[in-house]
Amino acid sequence: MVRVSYALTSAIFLIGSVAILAISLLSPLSVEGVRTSLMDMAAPVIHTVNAPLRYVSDLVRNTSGLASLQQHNADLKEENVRLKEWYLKARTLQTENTELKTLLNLKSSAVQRFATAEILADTASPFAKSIMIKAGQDDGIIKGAAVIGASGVVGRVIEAGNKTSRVLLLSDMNSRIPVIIDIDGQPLNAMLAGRNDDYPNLHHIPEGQIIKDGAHIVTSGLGGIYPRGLAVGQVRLDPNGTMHVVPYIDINELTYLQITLPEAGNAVWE
Amino acid sequence: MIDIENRPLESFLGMARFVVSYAIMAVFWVLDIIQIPFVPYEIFDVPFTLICVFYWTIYRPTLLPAWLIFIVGIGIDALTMMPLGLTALILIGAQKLVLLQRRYLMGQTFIHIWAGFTLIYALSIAVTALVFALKGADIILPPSLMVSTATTLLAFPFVALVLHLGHKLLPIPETQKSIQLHRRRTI
Repeated sequence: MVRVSYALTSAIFLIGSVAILAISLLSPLSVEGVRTSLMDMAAPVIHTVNAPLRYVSDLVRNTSGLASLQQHNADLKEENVRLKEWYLKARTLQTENTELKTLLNLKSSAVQRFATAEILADTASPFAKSIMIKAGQDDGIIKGAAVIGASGVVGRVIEAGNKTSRVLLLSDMNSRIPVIIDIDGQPLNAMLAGRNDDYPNLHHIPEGQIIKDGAHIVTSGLGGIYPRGLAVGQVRLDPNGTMHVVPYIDINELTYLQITLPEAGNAVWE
Repeated sequence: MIDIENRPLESFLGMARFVVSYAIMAVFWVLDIIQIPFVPYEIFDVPFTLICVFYWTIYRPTLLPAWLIFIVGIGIDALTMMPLGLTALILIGAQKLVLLQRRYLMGQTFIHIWAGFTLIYALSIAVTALVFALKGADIILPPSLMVSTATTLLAFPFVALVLHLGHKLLPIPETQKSIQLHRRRTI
């Protein structure tokens, strides 16, 4: 009798799992509430568990970095010299830009607003690449908002709970970002598609188009999710001619992220 | 007299022993959800909960009832962006499959148990790939899958060892006690 009831209970939960899976596949939005509620509930536990792990991670990074500190310092000095030159150029261009805008009587769009949030946990697996962040609808985060790290695009919010949100990383196979490839100053529109590994692909490139190694990629702003001009990554050509994109961001090195906030009117990145 | 005095202490210790096993599983459950920041994800992508379900189904099936596995599975799905119900289905399915072969597996060497887990893990990957194929209309096996499969199979003995240490703390079930007593009497 006990054996029968055990098998029956097991069968009921197996059927229940299949039913939930079917609902989840056919109508993902109907189970979104359950997901976000569970995310909000689990957030304190995950935060507590992740805190010492992050501490150890920082410790490992800092300790292993000591050996290459001298070289790193030299590289930074060199980079600083180059950045000073760029800064002067940028100032000149900014002045010129302001003057031209004044001459054209161009109406300036609203400035993009952000919320800054801490990464709660990296929940990546071979089949799905996502992270949880410690900000939700209570902080003004909405589904579809673009997420940006210190050096470029991270992804977009796909689920927003009250206290937490889930971010789909640009490396996930479901991620599609409209981008512009800078080809010797000429923009070329393309689509950045994740492959569930570290290097996304570029789609919709005209046949025969030559793209150089190291070409910069920024968001095009098409589709309205990502503001125009956000840094994404660089083109890398393998010796066998295969092209892939190396994103500027490394999710393992990030602690805080910026999330675009909704605003009335057309917003631009500044 | 001594028995009566020690009964609350015994029951407390018995409960504490179960708590240790559940605590070990809870840690593995959390490790299933989050990634260790300084370890590449493909190296640490070990399905700890699947190993727990596999191990306990062989050696102490009453420890993990179907409802608990269901809740644990739904929790993993909700927190890792997997389709809701997928992990629950894999875990309960694995439990049912292992239960069918439990008597055979119980008498086998560790190598056979390891091979049995490899089969269950391969099935879980196949089911996951199939569900993602249904979702995206294309069968995609991520490039990192080979690495994560290798690390999972290499991690199995270590995870099993931790579970075994917790298992040693558990009180012997009444049925097993009577079997042991019967054996002693026969000898």
